[in-house]
Amino acid sequence: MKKILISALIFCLLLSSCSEFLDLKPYGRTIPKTADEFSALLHKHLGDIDYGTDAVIVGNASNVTAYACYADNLDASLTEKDFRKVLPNYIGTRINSFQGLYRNLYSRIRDCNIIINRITEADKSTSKGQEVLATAYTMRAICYYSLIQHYCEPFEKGSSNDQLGVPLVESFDMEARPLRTGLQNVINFVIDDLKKAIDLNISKEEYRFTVDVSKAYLARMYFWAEDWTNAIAVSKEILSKHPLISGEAYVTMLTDRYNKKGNVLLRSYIFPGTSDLSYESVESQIKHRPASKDFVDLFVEKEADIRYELSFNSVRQNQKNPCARVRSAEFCLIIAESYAHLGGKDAESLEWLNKLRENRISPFVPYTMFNLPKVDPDYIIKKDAEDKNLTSLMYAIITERQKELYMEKDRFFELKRNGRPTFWVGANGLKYVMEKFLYTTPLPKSDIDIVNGLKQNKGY
Amino acid sequence: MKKILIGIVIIVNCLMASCTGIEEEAPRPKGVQMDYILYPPSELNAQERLYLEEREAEYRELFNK
Repeated sequence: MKKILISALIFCLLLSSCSEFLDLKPYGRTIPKTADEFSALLHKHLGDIDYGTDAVIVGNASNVTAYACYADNLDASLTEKDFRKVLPNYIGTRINSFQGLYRNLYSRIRDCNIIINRITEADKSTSKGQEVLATAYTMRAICYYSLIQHYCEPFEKGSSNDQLGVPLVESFDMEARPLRTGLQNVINFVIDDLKKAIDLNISKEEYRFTVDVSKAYLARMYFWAEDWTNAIAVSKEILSKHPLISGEAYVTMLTDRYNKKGNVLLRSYIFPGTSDLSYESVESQIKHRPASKDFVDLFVEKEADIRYELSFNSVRQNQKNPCARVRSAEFCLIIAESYAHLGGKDAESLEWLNKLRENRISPFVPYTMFNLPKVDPDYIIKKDAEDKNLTSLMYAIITERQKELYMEKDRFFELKRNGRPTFWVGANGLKYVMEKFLYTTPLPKSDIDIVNGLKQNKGY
Repeated sequence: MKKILIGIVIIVNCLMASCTGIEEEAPRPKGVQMDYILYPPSELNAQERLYLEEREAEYRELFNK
Protein backbone atom coordinates (compact mmCIF):
# COMPACT_ATOMS: atom_id res chain seq x y z
CA MET A 1 0.00 0.00 0.00
CA LYS A 2 2.86 2.32 0.99
CA LYS A 3 4.60 1.53 -2.29
CA ILE A 4 1.54 2.61 -4.29
CA LEU A 5 1.27 5.80 -2.27
CA ILE A 6 4.98 6.64 -2.81
CA SER A 7 4.80 5.86 -6.54
CA ALA A 8 1.69 8.06 -6.88
CA LEU A 9 3.48 10.95 -5.13
CA ILE A 10 6.60 10.56 -7.30
CA PHE A 11 4.40 10.54 -10.39
CA CYS A 12 2.71 13.77 -9.33
CA LEU A 13 6.10 15.35 -8.54
CA LEU A 14 7.38 14.38 -11.99
CA LEU A 15 4.43 16.14 -13.60
CA SER A 16 5.05 19.30 -11.62
CA SER A 17 8.64 19.38 -12.82
CA CYS A 18 7.32 19.12 -16.40
CA SER A 19 5.21 22.20 -15.75
CA GLU A 20 8.31 24.02 -14.44
CA PHE A 21 10.12 23.08 -17.63
CA LEU A 22 7.40 24.83 -19.64
CA ASP A 23 8.02 28.01 -17.67
CA LEU A 24 11.69 28.15 -18.61
CA LYS A 25 12.59 31.04 -20.88
CA PRO A 26 15.21 30.04 -23.42
CA TYR A 27 16.40 33.57 -24.18
CA GLY A 28 18.50 33.75 -21.00
CA ARG A 29 21.04 31.47 -22.60
CA THR A 30 21.17 32.95 -26.09
CA ILE A 31 21.25 36.72 -25.72
CA PRO A 32 24.55 38.22 -26.95
CA LYS A 33 26.58 40.06 -24.35
CA THR A 34 29.80 41.44 -25.83
CA ALA A 35 30.43 44.15 -28.42
CA ASP A 36 31.64 41.48 -30.85
CA GLU A 37 28.43 39.48 -30.44
CA PHE A 38 26.33 42.63 -30.83
CA SER A 39 28.29 43.47 -33.96
CA ALA A 40 27.54 40.01 -35.39
CA LEU A 41 23.85 40.54 -34.64
CA LEU A 42 23.85 43.84 -36.57
CA HIS A 43 25.92 42.52 -39.45
CA LYS A 44 23.26 39.94 -40.23
CA HIS A 45 20.85 42.81 -41.03
CA LEU A 46 23.53 44.95 -42.70
CA GLY A 47 24.45 41.97 -44.86
CA ASP A 48 20.83 41.66 -45.96
CA ILE A 49 20.92 45.29 -47.14
CA ASP A 50 24.26 44.80 -48.91
CA TYR A 51 23.12 41.67 -50.75
CA GLY A 52 19.66 42.98 -51.59
CA THR A 53 17.79 40.46 -49.47
CA ASP A 54 16.43 43.12 -47.11
CA ALA A 55 12.83 44.14 -47.72
CA VAL A 56 12.37 45.66 -44.27
CA ILE A 57 14.88 48.40 -43.44
CA VAL A 58 15.92 49.89 -46.80
CA GLY A 59 14.17 47.69 -49.38
CA ASN A 60 15.35 45.62 -52.36
CA ALA A 61 14.38 45.69 -56.05
CA SER A 62 11.30 43.54 -55.57
CA ASN A 63 10.16 45.70 -52.68
CA VAL A 64 10.78 48.99 -54.55
CA THR A 65 8.88 47.69 -57.57
CA ALA A 66 5.93 46.64 -55.42
CA TYR A 67 5.65 50.17 -53.98
CA ALA A 68 5.86 51.57 -57.53
CA CYS A 69 2.89 49.35 -58.39
CA TYR A 70 0.91 50.74 -55.44
CA ALA A 71 1.38 54.34 -56.64
CA ASP A 72 0.56 56.20 -59.85
CA ASN A 73 3.82 56.50 -61.83
CA LEU A 74 3.08 53.25 -63.65
CA ASP A 75 -0.19 52.58 -65.46
CA ALA A 76 -1.54 49.40 -63.87
CA SER A 77 -4.46 49.32 -66.33
CA LEU A 78 -2.02 48.83 -69.21
CA THR A 79 -0.21 45.85 -67.68
CA GLU A 80 0.30 43.07 -70.21
CA LYS A 81 -2.15 40.26 -69.68
CA ASP A 82 0.38 37.59 -68.65
CA PHE A 83 1.81 39.83 -65.94
CA ARG A 84 -1.43 40.85 -64.26
CA LYS A 85 -1.03 38.13 -61.68
CA VAL A 86 2.67 38.83 -61.11
CA LEU A 87 2.45 42.59 -60.59
CA PRO A 88 -0.10 43.81 -58.01
CA ASN A 89 -2.98 45.89 -59.42
CA TYR A 90 -2.98 48.08 -56.33
CA ILE A 91 -1.97 47.86 -52.68
CA GLY A 92 -5.15 45.95 -51.81
CA THR A 93 -3.80 42.90 -53.63
CA ARG A 94 -1.02 42.61 -51.08
CA ILE A 95 -2.55 44.28 -48.04
CA ASN A 96 -2.04 41.20 -45.88
CA SER A 97 1.72 41.16 -46.51
CA PHE A 98 2.00 44.25 -44.31
CA GLN A 99 1.23 42.09 -41.29
CA GLY A 100 4.56 40.38 -41.97
CA LEU A 101 6.36 43.71 -42.40
CA TYR A 102 5.08 44.80 -38.97
CA ARG A 103 6.47 41.68 -37.32
CA ASN A 104 9.77 41.98 -39.17
CA LEU A 105 10.21 45.62 -38.17
CA TYR A 106 9.63 44.73 -34.52
CA SER A 107 12.08 41.83 -34.77
CA ARG A 108 14.76 44.32 -35.91
CA ILE A 109 13.73 46.64 -33.05
CA ARG A 110 14.08 43.71 -30.63
CA ASP A 111 17.66 43.12 -31.76
CA CYS A 112 18.48 46.82 -31.40
CA ASN A 113 16.90 46.87 -27.94
CA ILE A 114 19.06 43.94 -26.85
CA ILE A 115 22.15 45.92 -27.85
CA ILE A 116 21.06 49.29 -26.46
CA ASN A 117 19.92 47.85 -23.12
CA ARG A 118 22.68 45.35 -22.55
CA ILE A 119 25.87 46.93 -23.80
CA THR A 120 28.19 47.42 -20.84
CA GLU A 121 29.71 50.73 -19.77
CA ALA A 122 33.14 49.26 -20.49
CA ASP A 123 32.13 48.43 -24.09
CA LYS A 124 30.61 51.88 -24.55
CA SER A 125 34.05 53.40 -24.07
CA THR A 126 35.56 51.35 -26.92
CA SER A 127 35.30 52.41 -30.58
CA LYS A 128 33.61 49.13 -31.50
CA GLY A 129 31.09 49.54 -28.70
CA GLN A 130 30.27 53.06 -29.89
CA GLU A 131 29.94 51.92 -33.51
CA VAL A 132 27.60 49.13 -32.51
CA LEU A 133 25.54 51.41 -30.27
CA ALA A 134 25.21 54.17 -32.90
CA THR A 135 24.16 51.63 -35.52
CA ALA A 136 21.57 50.13 -33.17
CA TYR A 137 20.12 53.59 -32.38
CA THR A 138 19.88 54.49 -36.08
CA MET A 139 18.47 51.11 -37.10
CA ARG A 140 15.83 51.27 -34.35
CA ALA A 141 14.92 54.82 -35.40
CA ILE A 142 14.60 53.79 -39.06
CA CYS A 143 12.33 50.90 -38.09
CA TYR A 144 10.06 53.20 -36.07
CA TYR A 145 10.11 55.75 -38.90
CA SER A 146 8.95 53.01 -41.26
CA LEU A 147 6.25 51.93 -38.78
CA ILE A 148 5.02 55.56 -38.66
CA GLN A 149 4.95 55.77 -42.46
CA HIS A 150 3.03 52.51 -42.85
CA TYR A 151 0.82 52.01 -39.80
CA CYS A 152 -0.06 55.57 -38.74
CA GLU A 153 -2.28 58.13 -40.41
CA PRO A 154 -0.40 61.04 -42.03
CA PHE A 155 0.85 63.61 -39.52
CA GLU A 156 -1.63 66.35 -38.64
CA LYS A 157 -0.27 69.45 -36.97
CA GLY A 158 -2.15 70.23 -33.76
CA SER A 159 -3.57 66.75 -33.26
CA SER A 160 -0.46 64.57 -33.42
CA ASN A 161 -0.68 63.83 -29.68
CA ASP A 162 -4.13 62.30 -30.22
CA GLN A 163 -3.27 60.48 -33.45
CA LEU A 164 -2.54 56.78 -33.04
CA GLY A 165 1.13 55.90 -33.09
CA VAL A 166 2.53 52.39 -32.75
CA PRO A 167 3.47 50.41 -29.62
CA LEU A 168 6.76 51.75 -28.30
CA VAL A 169 9.02 48.87 -27.32
CA GLU A 170 12.16 50.21 -25.68
CA SER A 171 13.49 47.10 -24.00
CA PHE A 172 13.59 43.37 -24.59
CA ASP A 173 10.71 41.74 -22.71
CA MET A 174 8.98 38.70 -24.18
CA GLU A 175 6.01 39.05 -21.84
CA ALA A 176 5.24 42.73 -22.56
CA ARG A 177 2.06 43.58 -24.50
CA PRO A 178 2.35 47.36 -25.08
CA LEU A 179 -0.50 49.34 -26.62
CA ARG A 180 -0.30 52.06 -29.26
CA THR A 181 1.02 55.35 -27.96
CA GLY A 182 0.41 58.82 -29.45
CA LEU A 183 2.01 59.55 -32.83
CA GLN A 184 3.97 62.50 -31.44
CA ASN A 185 5.53 60.23 -28.78
CA VAL A 186 6.84 57.88 -31.46
CA ILE A 187 8.17 60.81 -33.52
CA ASN A 188 9.97 62.20 -30.44
CA PHE A 189 11.41 58.74 -29.79
CA VAL A 190 12.79 58.50 -33.35
CA ILE A 191 14.32 61.99 -33.11
CA ASP A 192 15.85 61.16 -29.75
CA ASP A 193 17.41 57.92 -31.04
CA LEU A 194 18.84 59.64 -34.11
CA LYS A 195 20.32 62.45 -32.02
CA LYS A 196 22.00 59.89 -29.77
CA ALA A 197 23.47 58.19 -32.85
CA ILE A 198 24.64 61.54 -34.25
CA ASP A 199 26.36 62.38 -30.94
CA LEU A 200 28.36 59.16 -31.24
CA ASN A 201 29.59 60.50 -34.61
CA ILE A 202 30.36 57.25 -36.43
CA SER A 203 31.88 57.57 -39.88
CA LYS A 204 33.02 53.96 -40.45
CA GLU A 205 31.32 52.81 -43.68
CA GLU A 206 31.41 49.19 -42.53
CA TYR A 207 28.39 49.88 -40.33
CA ARG A 208 26.46 51.56 -43.19
CA PHE A 209 24.47 53.79 -40.79
CA THR A 210 27.05 56.54 -40.52
CA VAL A 211 26.44 59.91 -38.89
CA ASP A 212 25.34 61.30 -42.29
CA VAL A 213 22.75 58.55 -42.68
CA SER A 214 21.44 59.32 -39.18
CA LYS A 215 21.18 63.01 -40.17
CA ALA A 216 19.38 62.05 -43.38
CA TYR A 217 16.73 60.11 -41.46
CA LEU A 218 16.49 62.94 -38.94
CA ALA A 219 15.72 65.32 -41.82
CA ARG A 220 13.14 62.83 -43.16
CA MET A 221 11.52 62.54 -39.74
CA TYR A 222 11.33 66.33 -39.27
CA PHE A 223 9.90 66.63 -42.76
CA TRP A 224 7.24 63.95 -42.18
CA ALA A 225 6.37 65.66 -38.88
CA GLU A 226 6.07 69.02 -40.64
CA ASP A 227 8.85 70.59 -38.58
CA TRP A 228 9.92 72.64 -41.57
CA THR A 229 12.60 74.74 -39.84
CA ASN A 230 14.53 71.76 -38.48
CA ALA A 231 14.08 69.83 -41.74
CA ILE A 232 15.77 72.71 -43.59
CA ALA A 233 18.63 72.99 -41.10
CA VAL A 234 19.53 69.28 -41.14
CA SER A 235 19.08 68.96 -44.93
CA LYS A 236 21.46 71.89 -45.50
CA GLU A 237 24.09 70.14 -43.37
CA ILE A 238 23.77 67.04 -45.56
CA LEU A 239 23.97 69.01 -48.81
CA SER A 240 27.01 71.00 -47.70
CA LYS A 241 28.87 67.71 -47.24
CA HIS A 242 27.33 65.82 -50.17
CA PRO A 243 26.56 68.38 -52.91
CA LEU A 244 24.38 67.67 -55.93
CA ILE A 245 26.05 66.20 -58.98
CA SER A 246 25.09 66.33 -62.64
CA GLY A 247 25.78 64.88 -66.09
CA GLU A 248 27.72 61.65 -66.42
CA ALA A 249 28.42 61.45 -62.68
CA TYR A 250 24.67 61.54 -62.02
CA VAL A 251 23.95 58.85 -64.61
CA THR A 252 26.70 56.61 -63.20
CA MET A 253 25.36 57.09 -59.68
CA LEU A 254 21.91 55.86 -60.69
CA THR A 255 22.88 53.15 -63.16
CA ASP A 256 25.67 51.54 -61.15
CA ARG A 257 24.24 48.34 -59.90
CA TYR A 258 26.48 47.56 -56.97
CA ASN A 259 28.46 50.63 -55.98
CA LYS A 260 27.62 53.50 -53.69
CA LYS A 261 28.63 56.38 -55.92
CA GLY A 262 28.11 60.14 -56.08
CA ASN A 263 26.09 61.51 -53.20
CA VAL A 264 24.34 58.26 -52.23
CA LEU A 265 24.50 57.91 -48.45
CA LEU A 266 22.79 54.55 -48.15
CA ARG A 267 21.52 52.01 -50.65
CA SER A 268 20.68 48.36 -51.00
CA TYR A 269 22.84 46.12 -53.24
CA ILE A 270 26.49 46.71 -52.47
CA PHE A 271 27.58 43.19 -53.44
CA PRO A 272 26.23 40.92 -56.17
CA GLY A 273 24.85 37.77 -54.64
CA THR A 274 22.19 35.17 -55.00
CA SER A 275 19.56 37.92 -55.12
CA ASP A 276 20.99 39.07 -58.45
CA LEU A 277 18.65 36.73 -60.31
CA SER A 278 15.63 38.15 -58.54
CA TYR A 279 16.85 41.69 -59.37
CA GLU A 280 16.97 40.81 -63.08
CA SER A 281 13.62 39.08 -62.89
CA VAL A 282 11.99 42.15 -61.30
CA GLU A 283 13.55 44.44 -63.91
CA SER A 284 12.14 42.35 -66.72
CA GLN A 285 8.69 42.04 -65.08
CA ILE A 286 8.25 45.75 -64.56
CA LYS A 287 8.81 46.41 -68.26
CA HIS A 288 5.40 44.86 -68.83
CA ARG A 289 3.68 47.70 -66.99
CA PRO A 290 4.37 50.99 -68.81
CA ALA A 291 4.87 54.34 -67.14
CA SER A 292 1.65 56.36 -67.08
CA LYS A 293 1.19 59.01 -69.75
CA ASP A 294 0.54 61.65 -67.09
CA PHE A 295 3.91 60.90 -65.52
CA VAL A 296 5.78 60.95 -68.83
CA ASP A 297 4.14 64.27 -69.73
CA LEU A 298 5.62 65.86 -66.61
CA PHE A 299 9.00 65.81 -68.39
CA VAL A 300 8.23 68.99 -70.32
CA GLU A 301 11.86 69.44 -71.39
CA LYS A 302 11.91 65.86 -72.80
CA GLU A 303 15.47 64.74 -73.72
CA ALA A 304 16.93 68.00 -72.37
CA ASP A 305 16.14 66.56 -68.94
CA ILE A 306 18.76 63.90 -68.15
CA ARG A 307 16.16 61.91 -66.20
CA TYR A 308 13.87 61.46 -69.21
CA GLU A 309 15.84 58.73 -70.99
CA LEU A 310 17.12 57.41 -67.69
CA SER A 311 13.57 56.69 -66.53
CA PHE A 312 11.84 55.05 -69.53
CA ASN A 313 12.22 54.35 -73.24
CA SER A 314 10.14 55.50 -76.22
CA VAL A 315 7.35 53.03 -75.39
CA ARG A 316 7.29 54.08 -71.75
CA GLN A 317 8.97 50.92 -70.44
CA ASN A 318 10.97 51.42 -67.27
CA GLN A 319 14.72 51.94 -67.69
CA LYS A 320 15.72 52.97 -64.17
CA ASN A 321 17.25 50.56 -61.64
CA PRO A 322 14.61 49.92 -59.00
CA CYS A 323 16.72 50.67 -55.96
CA ALA A 324 16.02 52.26 -52.58
CA ARG A 325 18.57 54.98 -51.94
CA VAL A 326 19.16 57.84 -49.55
CA ARG A 327 20.77 60.61 -51.61
CA SER A 328 21.23 64.37 -51.65
CA ALA A 329 18.56 65.32 -54.21
CA GLU A 330 15.81 64.35 -51.76
CA PHE A 331 17.17 66.81 -49.20
CA CYS A 332 17.35 69.59 -51.77
CA LEU A 333 13.66 69.01 -52.44
CA ILE A 334 12.92 68.83 -48.71
CA ILE A 335 14.47 72.30 -48.33
CA ALA A 336 12.49 73.68 -51.28
CA GLU A 337 9.19 72.31 -49.99
CA SER A 338 9.84 73.28 -46.37
CA TYR A 339 10.52 76.90 -47.36
CA ALA A 340 7.31 76.89 -49.41
CA HIS A 341 5.32 75.71 -46.38
CA LEU A 342 6.89 78.30 -44.07
CA GLY A 343 5.28 81.14 -46.01
CA GLY A 344 7.01 84.32 -47.13
CA LYS A 345 10.00 82.26 -48.24
CA ASP A 346 9.07 81.61 -51.87
CA ALA A 347 12.36 83.07 -53.14
CA GLU A 348 14.38 80.63 -50.99
CA SER A 349 12.13 77.78 -52.08
CA LEU A 350 12.62 78.64 -55.76
CA GLU A 351 16.37 78.95 -55.26
CA TRP A 352 16.63 75.35 -54.01
CA LEU A 353 14.23 74.01 -56.61
CA ASN A 354 16.32 75.67 -59.32
CA LYS A 355 19.52 74.23 -57.81
CA LEU A 356 18.18 70.75 -58.47
CA ARG A 357 16.81 71.55 -61.92
CA GLU A 358 20.04 73.16 -63.14
CA ASN A 359 21.82 69.89 -62.36
CA ARG A 360 19.31 67.90 -64.39
CA ILE A 361 18.22 70.04 -67.34
CA SER A 362 20.36 71.49 -70.08
CA PRO A 363 19.68 74.07 -71.49
CA PHE A 364 18.14 75.24 -68.26
CA VAL A 365 15.70 78.10 -67.71
CA PRO A 366 15.31 78.92 -64.02
CA TYR A 367 11.84 79.07 -62.54
CA THR A 368 10.57 82.42 -61.30
CA MET A 369 7.22 83.11 -59.67
CA PHE A 370 6.02 84.20 -63.13
CA ASN A 371 7.00 81.21 -65.25
CA LEU A 372 6.10 78.37 -62.87
CA PRO A 373 3.90 75.70 -64.49
CA LYS A 374 0.18 76.09 -63.86
CA VAL A 375 -1.38 73.46 -61.59
CA ASP A 376 -2.84 70.72 -63.78
CA PRO A 377 -6.50 70.39 -62.67
CA ASP A 378 -6.29 66.63 -63.40
CA TYR A 379 -3.16 66.12 -61.29
CA ILE A 380 -3.78 63.32 -58.82
CA ILE A 381 -2.61 65.30 -55.78
CA LYS A 382 -5.03 68.09 -54.93
CA LYS A 383 -3.93 69.03 -51.41
CA ASP A 384 -0.47 69.52 -49.95
CA ALA A 385 0.85 68.14 -46.65
CA GLU A 386 -0.89 70.94 -44.73
CA ASP A 387 -4.19 70.21 -46.47
CA LYS A 388 -4.02 73.40 -48.55
CA ASN A 389 -4.82 73.58 -52.25
CA LEU A 390 -1.72 73.20 -54.42
CA THR A 391 -0.03 76.45 -55.41
CA SER A 392 2.02 76.62 -58.62
CA LEU A 393 5.18 76.52 -56.51
CA MET A 394 4.07 73.48 -54.53
CA TYR A 395 2.93 71.75 -57.71
CA ALA A 396 6.36 72.37 -59.27
CA ILE A 397 8.15 70.97 -56.19
CA ILE A 398 5.97 67.87 -55.87
CA THR A 399 6.22 67.01 -59.58
CA GLU A 400 9.99 67.61 -59.52
CA ARG A 401 10.23 65.12 -56.67
CA GLN A 402 8.06 62.67 -58.59
CA LYS A 403 10.52 62.79 -61.51
CA GLU A 404 13.69 62.76 -59.42
CA LEU A 405 12.81 59.92 -57.05
CA TYR A 406 10.95 57.71 -59.52
CA MET A 407 11.56 54.00 -58.75
CA GLU A 408 13.20 54.82 -55.45
CA LYS A 409 10.32 53.87 -53.10
CA ASP A 410 9.19 57.45 -52.60
CA ARG A 411 6.00 58.16 -54.55
CA PHE A 412 3.61 56.00 -52.50
CA PHE A 413 4.55 57.87 -49.33
CA GLU A 414 4.35 61.20 -51.17
CA LEU A 415 0.74 60.41 -52.08
CA LYS A 416 0.10 59.49 -48.46
CA ARG A 417 1.71 62.71 -47.16
CA ASN A 418 -0.15 64.89 -49.65
CA GLY A 419 -3.84 64.24 -49.08
CA ARG A 420 -4.07 60.48 -49.78
CA PRO A 421 -5.82 60.86 -53.15
CA THR A 422 -8.16 58.09 -54.25
CA PHE A 423 -7.71 56.63 -57.74
CA TRP A 424 -8.70 53.46 -59.52
CA VAL A 425 -7.16 50.95 -61.89
CA GLY A 426 -8.98 48.60 -64.23
CA ALA A 427 -8.06 44.96 -64.75
CA ASN A 428 -10.07 42.11 -66.30
CA GLY A 429 -13.18 44.26 -66.45
CA LEU A 430 -13.00 45.07 -62.74
CA LYS A 431 -12.31 48.32 -60.96
CA TYR A 432 -9.80 48.36 -58.08
CA VAL A 433 -10.09 51.52 -56.03
CA MET A 434 -7.18 52.93 -54.04
CA GLU A 435 -9.26 54.13 -51.12
CA LYS A 436 -7.99 56.65 -48.59
CA PHE A 437 -7.78 54.10 -45.75
CA LEU A 438 -5.49 51.81 -47.76
CA TYR A 439 -2.60 54.27 -47.40
CA THR A 440 -2.47 53.19 -43.75
CA THR A 441 -1.76 49.48 -43.61
CA PRO A 442 -3.23 47.05 -41.04
CA LEU A 443 -1.60 45.79 -37.86
CA PRO A 444 -1.38 41.96 -37.70
CA LYS A 445 -4.71 40.42 -36.87
CA SER A 446 -3.08 38.02 -34.42
CA ASP A 447 -1.74 40.97 -32.37
CA ILE A 448 -5.18 42.58 -32.29
CA ASP A 449 -6.69 39.28 -31.09
CA ILE A 450 -4.07 38.63 -28.42
CA VAL A 451 -3.42 42.10 -27.00
CA ASN A 452 -6.41 43.51 -25.15
CA GLY A 453 -7.01 47.14 -26.09
CA LEU A 454 -4.69 47.24 -29.12
CA LYS A 455 -6.49 49.36 -31.73
CA GLN A 456 -6.63 48.44 -35.41
CA ASN A 457 -6.46 51.08 -38.13
CA LYS A 458 -9.69 52.28 -39.71
CA GLY A 459 -11.06 50.23 -42.57
CA TYR A 460 -9.81 46.79 -41.50
CA MET B 1 -8.19 2.57 -0.30
CA LYS B 2 -6.66 1.66 -3.65
CA LYS B 3 -9.62 3.24 -5.44
CA ILE B 4 -9.28 6.45 -3.42
CA LEU B 5 -5.58 6.71 -4.28
CA ILE B 6 -6.16 6.09 -7.96
CA GLY B 7 -8.95 8.69 -7.85
CA ILE B 8 -6.61 11.26 -6.26
CA VAL B 9 -3.90 10.61 -8.86
CA ILE B 10 -6.41 10.94 -11.71
CA ILE B 11 -7.86 14.19 -10.30
CA VAL B 12 -4.39 15.70 -9.70
CA ASN B 13 -3.29 14.72 -13.19
CA CYS B 14 -6.44 16.11 -14.78
CA LEU B 15 -6.03 19.40 -12.90
CA MET B 16 -2.39 19.73 -13.93
CA ALA B 17 -3.12 18.80 -17.50
CA SER B 18 -5.87 21.39 -17.74
CA CYS B 19 -3.61 24.07 -16.22
CA THR B 20 -0.87 23.28 -18.72
CA GLY B 21 -3.49 23.41 -21.43
CA ILE B 22 -4.47 26.94 -20.47
CA GLU B 23 -0.84 27.97 -20.41
CA GLU B 24 -0.24 26.62 -23.89
CA GLU B 25 -3.36 27.87 -25.55
CA ALA B 26 -3.69 31.36 -24.12
CA PRO B 27 -1.29 33.30 -26.37
CA ARG B 28 -2.82 32.39 -29.74
CA PRO B 29 -6.54 31.79 -30.17
CA LYS B 30 -7.30 28.88 -32.45
CA GLY B 31 -9.45 29.07 -35.54
CA VAL B 32 -8.97 32.82 -36.00
CA GLN B 33 -9.00 34.28 -39.50
CA MET B 34 -5.46 35.66 -39.86
CA ASP B 35 -5.96 37.80 -42.95
CA TYR B 36 -7.95 40.89 -43.84
CA ILE B 37 -10.45 40.71 -46.66
CA LEU B 38 -11.13 43.92 -48.53
CA TYR B 39 -14.25 44.79 -50.43
CA PRO B 40 -14.25 42.91 -53.74
CA PRO B 41 -13.49 45.00 -56.83
CA SER B 42 -16.56 46.41 -58.58
CA GLU B 43 -17.54 46.09 -62.25
CA LEU B 44 -16.37 48.87 -64.56
CA ASN B 45 -19.21 51.03 -65.84
CA ALA B 46 -19.56 51.89 -69.54
CA GLN B 47 -17.82 55.26 -69.22
CA GLU B 48 -14.87 53.81 -67.33
CA ARG B 49 -14.61 50.94 -69.80
CA LEU B 50 -14.51 53.41 -72.70
CA TYR B 51 -11.87 55.51 -70.96
CA LEU B 52 -9.67 52.44 -70.51
CA GLU B 53 -10.17 51.31 -74.09
CA GLU B 54 -9.04 54.73 -75.34
CA ARG B 55 -5.92 54.56 -73.22
CA GLU B 56 -5.15 51.04 -74.41
CA ALA B 57 -5.60 52.07 -78.04
CA GLU B 58 -3.35 55.08 -77.54
CA TYR B 59 -0.66 52.88 -75.99
CA ARG B 60 -0.93 50.21 -78.71
CA GLU B 61 -0.43 52.93 -81.31
CA LEU B 62 2.68 54.18 -79.48
CA PHE B 63 4.03 50.64 -79.18
CA ASN B 64 3.50 49.84 -82.86
CA LYS B 65 5.12 53.01 -84.18
